[in-house]
Amino acid sequence: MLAQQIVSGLATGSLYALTAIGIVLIFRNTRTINLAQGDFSMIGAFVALVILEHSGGSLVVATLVTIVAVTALAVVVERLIMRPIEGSDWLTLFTATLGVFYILHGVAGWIWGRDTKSFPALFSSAPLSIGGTLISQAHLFNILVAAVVGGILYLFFRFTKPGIAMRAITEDPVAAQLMGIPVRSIVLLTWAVGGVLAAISGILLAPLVYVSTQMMDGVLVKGYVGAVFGGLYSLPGAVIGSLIIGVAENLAGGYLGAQYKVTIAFVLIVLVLALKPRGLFGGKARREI
Amino acid sequence: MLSLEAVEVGYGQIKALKGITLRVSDGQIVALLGANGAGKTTALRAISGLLRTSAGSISVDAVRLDRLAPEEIVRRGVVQVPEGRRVFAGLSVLENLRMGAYCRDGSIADDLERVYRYFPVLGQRRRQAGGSLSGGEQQMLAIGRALMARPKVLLLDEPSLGLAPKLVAEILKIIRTINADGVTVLLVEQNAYQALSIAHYSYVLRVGRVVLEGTAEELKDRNDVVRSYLGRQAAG
Ligand SMILES: Nc1ncnc2c1ncn2[C@@H]1O[C@H](COP(=O)(O)OP(=O)(O)OP(=O)(O)O)[C@@H](O)[C@H]1O
Ligand SMILES: [Mg+2]
Repeated sequence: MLAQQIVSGLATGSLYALTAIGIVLIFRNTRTINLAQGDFSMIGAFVALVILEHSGGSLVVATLVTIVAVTALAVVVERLIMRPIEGSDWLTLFTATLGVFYILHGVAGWIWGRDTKSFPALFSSAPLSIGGTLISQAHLFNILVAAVVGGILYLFFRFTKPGIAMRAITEDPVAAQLMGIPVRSIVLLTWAVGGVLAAISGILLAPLVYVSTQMMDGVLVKGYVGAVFGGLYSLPGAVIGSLIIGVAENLAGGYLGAQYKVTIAFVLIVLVLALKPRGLFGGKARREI
Repeated sequence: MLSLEAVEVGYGQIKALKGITLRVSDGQIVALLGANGAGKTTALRAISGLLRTSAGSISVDAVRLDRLAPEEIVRRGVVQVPEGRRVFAGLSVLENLRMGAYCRDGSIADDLERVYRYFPVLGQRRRQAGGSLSGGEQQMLAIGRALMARPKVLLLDEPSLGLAPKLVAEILKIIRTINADGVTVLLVEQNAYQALSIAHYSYVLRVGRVVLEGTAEELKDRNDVVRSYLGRQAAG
């Protein structure tokens, strides 16, 4: 029972982690707390649903189209809304993403309606038994996909030129410019990566909940809390924070009652902020621009 | 040749450069001297495209730079080593050097070898984080990183700042070697004595204007004047 709770907590946590990573990537290169990160996933879930209906149920086609569509959406948001106000103070940037949040909620409601829609399950509901622990196939799949995404991101940041450039911009955007790094293009790429992550998490979450305009609201908050664990800066910190939240809320839900699920995330965030304001993995001074 | 013609740059209402004209001929080391707040860093930031000019022009080999983006200026061979070194602290030495070559395609093996030849210590520490290096090593990394872009003109903003005298001498020696290998250098310094010792030609800035220029010999002969513009200890 406990092992099961922990595994399904890790599965939920890995979905939070995809959102948390998106939030951290965009924040540390642009100082923008992107409230629309969850909406990118929500739009993605609707797009995937539409494509599934029109492609005869091909999940591969739906996934690819969704990734392209959500990435394009993120790019459009950067170019049309965020770029014109680049360099503004964080509150202006934050408020702009709040605007995007409401606009996307409104647009999705207008196109697809306010009703919840069910997304076809990707796996049978029969759980697998691994070492005596029953694990839902969907949960296992989510953990695997998140792990693969994490691995790809690690390689990207470690070995590729644009990946290292993203880290360089995080460290010192002015020095990055002086080295000939096209900072604006890399920032656009950062938003695009955020879009890819959002598309994946939207498709993974959709079968577990109903598709609706609010489907991501809770995930956004928990992904944000996960990101704060890493000081909105550290990617491993954000991942571990998200997993801790996923497990903690599952345990709280299982042992204390479902109404404590949301509370636990906030108890954790208050604890982190009180004890380690820069995040569990922070403590590293950043150069202000 | 890098040339600035009557360049004006302001921060809001304040004019930090009030029309400065200077030339850096190919193959030379030109020193840009001046006391605190004279506008030296402002001039370099304008050349690199971080600040926009409000009047005048900046060009290299007759190509206008002053409306180009910073990365386009780097691609045209004008590369800056900024004040305070600004190495990427969390990136390894090798990653820092790779970022210096960002605007170039193809292999960077030869360039790495060249940088390690100038600064053997960087070769030994290539896996170490940039932020873990000593001040002098970070200055070497900052210069090495800029060399990775294969600059025609290298802009150096107070490379001796905060370094022990022995290291200062070493850095100046390497700047001379880099110049002898064909790189044109614009060297910003407060420490006039040191800079004059390696410069072919020098300009002295004071509150946004060029107040004095000449070859090192000419300025050394007028040590009293240099001293009055730069402050006593600066002229050595
Ligand atoms: N970001 C800024 N905003 C407003 N004024 C500035 C800014 N940066 C520099 N200044 C002003 O512009 C003038 C020139 O500054 P600059 O940094 O170019 O001087 P400097 O010659 O490089 O001095 P130092 O030797 O201290 O580095 C100074 O009066 C300074 O106060
Ligand atoms: Mg300066």
